[in-house]
Amino acid sequence: MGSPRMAMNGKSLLVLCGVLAIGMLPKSAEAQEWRFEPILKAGLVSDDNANLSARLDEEVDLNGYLLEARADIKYSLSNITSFLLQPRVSIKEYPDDSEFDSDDFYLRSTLIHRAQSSTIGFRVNFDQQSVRTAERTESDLEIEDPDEIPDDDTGRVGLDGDRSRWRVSPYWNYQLSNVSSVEATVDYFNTSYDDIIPGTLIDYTDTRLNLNYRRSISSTTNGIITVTGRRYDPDDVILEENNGYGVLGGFERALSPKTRLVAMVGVENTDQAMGQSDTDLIGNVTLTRELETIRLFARYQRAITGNGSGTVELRDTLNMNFNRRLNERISAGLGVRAYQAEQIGEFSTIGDRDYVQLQTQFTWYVTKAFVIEADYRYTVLDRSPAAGVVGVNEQRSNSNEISLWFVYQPKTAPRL
Amino acid sequence: MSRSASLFAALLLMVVSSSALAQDIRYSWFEISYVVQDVDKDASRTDVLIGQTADISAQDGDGVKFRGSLGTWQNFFAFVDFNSSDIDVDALVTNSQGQFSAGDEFDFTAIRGGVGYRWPLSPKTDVYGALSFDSTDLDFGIIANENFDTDDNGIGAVAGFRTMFSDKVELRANVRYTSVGDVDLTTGEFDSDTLIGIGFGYELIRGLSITGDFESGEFSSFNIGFRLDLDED
Repeated sequence: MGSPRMAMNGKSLLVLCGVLAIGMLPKSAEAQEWRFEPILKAGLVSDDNANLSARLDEEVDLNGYLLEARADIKYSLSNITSFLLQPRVSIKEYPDDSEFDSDDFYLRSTLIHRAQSSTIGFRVNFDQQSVRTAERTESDLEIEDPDEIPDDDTGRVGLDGDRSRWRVSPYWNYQLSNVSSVEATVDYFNTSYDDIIPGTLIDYTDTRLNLNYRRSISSTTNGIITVTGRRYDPDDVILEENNGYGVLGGFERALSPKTRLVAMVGVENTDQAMGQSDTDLIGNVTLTRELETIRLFARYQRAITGNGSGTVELRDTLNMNFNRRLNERISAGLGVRAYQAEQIGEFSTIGDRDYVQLQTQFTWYVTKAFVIEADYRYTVLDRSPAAGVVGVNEQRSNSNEISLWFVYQPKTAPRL
Repeated sequence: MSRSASLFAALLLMVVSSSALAQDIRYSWFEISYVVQDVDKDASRTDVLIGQTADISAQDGDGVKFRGSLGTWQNFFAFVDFNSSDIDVDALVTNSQGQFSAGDEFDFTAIRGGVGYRWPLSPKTDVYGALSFDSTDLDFGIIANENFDTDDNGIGAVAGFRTMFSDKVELRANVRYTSVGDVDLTTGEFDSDTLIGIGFGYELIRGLSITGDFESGEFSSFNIGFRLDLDED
């Protein structure tokens, strides 16, 4: 077995987050701004194959209601220090299938402090979700930070139980000159599963360190070099840890005042058990565009990712969000989240997967504060058997989910 | 809620008051549709070792279709077409114990992606041609120990026209060739087919249209849905 696990429990993380936040908050009350934006949502949902079963006779048709409460608590001081705390509770109740009820909790927090030539940031997230929702990645039209797009799902949504996940991500950016800067980022995940069948999903920690060098090439283009390293450590007596090292190079370019492109390409080597290693091409292309009535985010990424399968995998991912305001009160959104995952390690509890979720959403601003959202999602999951499993063919499942939300957001300004 | 009901509910949301402006023929859009798919194929497999014959009859079904197009450099455009349907299938198994019938569904998936070029004949009428990579997949699972699954990839080509019949109404027609448009389910071998399609679009509100298409061939289909323009006016 590998190195000692990075022991970090919830209490110590909260204390650490709190201490850093208090330490960076100014003592003066001048130019401080607090904002509190609550959002309350109630809705109805129907899913014709909620457990993504490949067999028709095992499909679960769920109909129920949804409650969600979220608050964005924002603090800023003269553009120097800002802090965001975002707790969210999501409750799903299915009167005819109460065994699928779930209460999911999310906490996002981000602290940013800017000095004369450097910026320090600290992100702490905590999620506690049912396995059925946690292990199925969902398209999200509201996502703003590409780093928040999850890539750690296994597709094993037919299991009972819960998943808890901590994410701790400090970063430091230093401006070397007018045209160049360096940045160091640590991304630490600690994921654990409760009340599941042993051996189906495995607790793990996953730590990645990125070192970036960025240099301005022209008024519209920056060159970027990234050196990356990671350690994936499954909490299992048989499975080995995976260490990886890689390098990427690329650029970001402003194609127009409202359109931005980032492209990176590189390689990453992943150490395996018994002296083996695997070298893979990695990279990403990200396009963002914001017009008067249109907002677009599109990203293709090829990366080595870790999850509860007990090993890392090579994942090609496509994320696209498109929002368009149709008139003063109605907007439409399209979302695509798709991936193809291929196991790298010799031992894994799951096989290769192809996943596609297509989302379409219509939003009606009845008033500035009261909003109705209609959402449809079509999901396809193809699963190959895990390595070593014989006599099982590839399995394909699909589901249709439609939901209707009634949203009360008294202090949130519509984005489009 | 069934797939049909889900799509119907989604379509109802689209019935909103129209205040459309005059529009040109657009090549950057995304479309989601409810599709009725006809397969209508029979197959038979015999296992001489166990003395059993499995006969299946694939019929019709329904599903969803997603299509997208992106106008690119000059008059070129790129497109993708994803069709996923659940098709009814009847099975009759004959062996020494007698005859046993069963009914089930199978997954029919057709994916196309490619590039095309348009020639404007007038400000309101285009003809176009496109080449594509086509994939067709019929996933039955195991029926009486017989595996009828089959899939193949090939090439396709389409030629058609689009015209703005009025400011709000678009009419279109096409002829499409695909090398994976027909299948012999007994052998699993694919064959080519030529399909003829017609369709319409009606702009409900600026940037949003209701759309319908019918395509006739070995795998005929009818779909109705809505289209969202990806470009600003």
